[in-house]
Amino acid sequence: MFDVLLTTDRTMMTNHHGKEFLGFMATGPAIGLPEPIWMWICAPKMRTDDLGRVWQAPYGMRKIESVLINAGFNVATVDPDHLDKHLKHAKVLLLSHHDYFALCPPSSEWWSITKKEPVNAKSFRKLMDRRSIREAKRRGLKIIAGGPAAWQWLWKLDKWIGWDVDTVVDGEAEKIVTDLVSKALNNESLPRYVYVGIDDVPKLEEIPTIKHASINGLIEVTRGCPRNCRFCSVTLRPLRHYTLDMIEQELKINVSEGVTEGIIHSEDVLLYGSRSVEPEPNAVIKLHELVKSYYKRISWSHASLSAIKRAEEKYKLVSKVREIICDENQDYWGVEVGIETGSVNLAKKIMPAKSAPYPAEAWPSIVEEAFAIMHDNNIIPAATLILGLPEETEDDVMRTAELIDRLRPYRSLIVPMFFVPMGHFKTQDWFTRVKVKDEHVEVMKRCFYHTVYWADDIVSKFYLKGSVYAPLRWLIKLFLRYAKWKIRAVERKLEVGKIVKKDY
Amino acid sequence: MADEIEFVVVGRVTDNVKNLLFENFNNIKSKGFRRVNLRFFTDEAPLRCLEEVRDLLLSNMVVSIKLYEHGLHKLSNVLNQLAKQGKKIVILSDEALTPKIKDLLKDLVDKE
Repeated sequence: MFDVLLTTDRTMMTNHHGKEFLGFMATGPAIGLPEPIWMWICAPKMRTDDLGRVWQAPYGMRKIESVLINAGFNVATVDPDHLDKHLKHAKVLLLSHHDYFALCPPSSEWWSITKKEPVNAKSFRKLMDRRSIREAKRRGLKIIAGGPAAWQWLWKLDKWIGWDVDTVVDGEAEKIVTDLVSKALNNESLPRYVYVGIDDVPKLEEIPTIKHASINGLIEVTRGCPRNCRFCSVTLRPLRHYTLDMIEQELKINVSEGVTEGIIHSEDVLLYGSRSVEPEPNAVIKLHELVKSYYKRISWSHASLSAIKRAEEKYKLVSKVREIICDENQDYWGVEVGIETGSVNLAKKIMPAKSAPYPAEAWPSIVEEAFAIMHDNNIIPAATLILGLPEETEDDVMRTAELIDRLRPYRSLIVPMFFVPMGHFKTQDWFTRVKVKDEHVEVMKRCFYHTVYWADDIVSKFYLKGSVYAPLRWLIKLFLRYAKWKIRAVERKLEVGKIVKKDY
Repeated sequence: MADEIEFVVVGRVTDNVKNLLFENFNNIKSKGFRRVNLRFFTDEAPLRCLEEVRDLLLSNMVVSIKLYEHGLHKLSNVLNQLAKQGKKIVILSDEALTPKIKDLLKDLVDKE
């Protein structure tokens, strides 16, 4: 039995059938399909051992688990379905989530559009409402919540009190978690809230490697980002690149536990090894050779569009990386990229360094060129853009709409997201501030039609090809058909509304 | 730790207290403090203090913060502990202090 447990709800404790992108469906409510089927698509159950310890767990939880194992604690990362039996003995429960209360985009948008609670928040709520947790609390269980969405608890004090969460930790916790868990085990007083400032962020040598497999073989290669965009919190942390040795240790762990495909995680994979915004071709090539020597298939978590353009234009680096990645096991790879805006004016104000080493004035053309490079090299981007940014004007939004039209020839998914204040903007009262305007609806429509235009191609020819994925493919196509029908129905309604308004 | 500072708030977080905290947060960064313990002594509803200083917490991006919530009865214990650790105690505002607490603080301040 374990003193310290790490867990989270089903939408996080899943490998999404090995298809990370399906995890995005967990940010919405079930649409056009019964909820159990929706959950099966986006959050199938995770395999466990006899004790309920998970085969794969979210990477951040694996890091904390590793810190605690190194410190000598009796700790396990358990599946939510096996939590109850462990709660009878455990003294500390550690929680993590990407979006506890569905306040992040795109969950918050799905919620406001459909008026239904997304399955991620619903699933977390069900976990926390369990009688087993209430009973364990009465016996003295301490609950510590952290992870990337820790900030959300500051807006949900009723839940914090209701579920009797002892401590919320916001930030990289490697250096402080041991002290907190010791205090919890010794029944000493715990802080209610901890923010990890710059001086308590772990140095590279203070970050341990994981000891068990991460979800979909995700391995971090860099923390932090040098671009300093005003809407982002990652940029506030110092830049740290993992050594190839650290990366190899984590690859070995995943492969030894049967995970042979994986995601390279960084805010900007093409800047691996660089201390500036200029790619370091040798470091990037060595990284990919190393990862590909362990994993059959790989993808990137994030890359910046300016780095993609720069890397290919100056070093032919994207083409070189393609030669490493694409082989008999894979013929494409995915990545998340940030368009954010099509407006030069807004780009200058909120993300002047996002285009670097190119000038901010070139931002829309950087986006187009990077999309062309990705299309030619079989990289499939899931692109995001932000609506409702502070200081945004109607003209800014229309520039974004025009840019989406120009991106039509390039295979990609484009997802609009409403601004959630992080980084320098995080004190702003966004709950009352977000107002959806006509031009926002126009951008959302263009994104939707762009995405469904390419989704069929991506699902059939790339992402879910082969007989193994036939049921999933069929369900996704069914959902896409339903979504198209639904949007057209809404459009017809809006058109009728406009005519009625005009006539009277 | 040398770069650590404690703020002790007794009772409700009034606008004046909030302003004092904001003001001092800005000062401590320039004075080299990188870790702050915020201690609220209150018998109010749980996390009320956190709601009252949420803006302060969200406006910080540099220093480490630990926020503690204690019952009023713990005040003398905690203050004595801080004094034993050799921490210098400065009273920023005494607007909400009862005579009993003032006496307690006076004793501790005199020790410095």
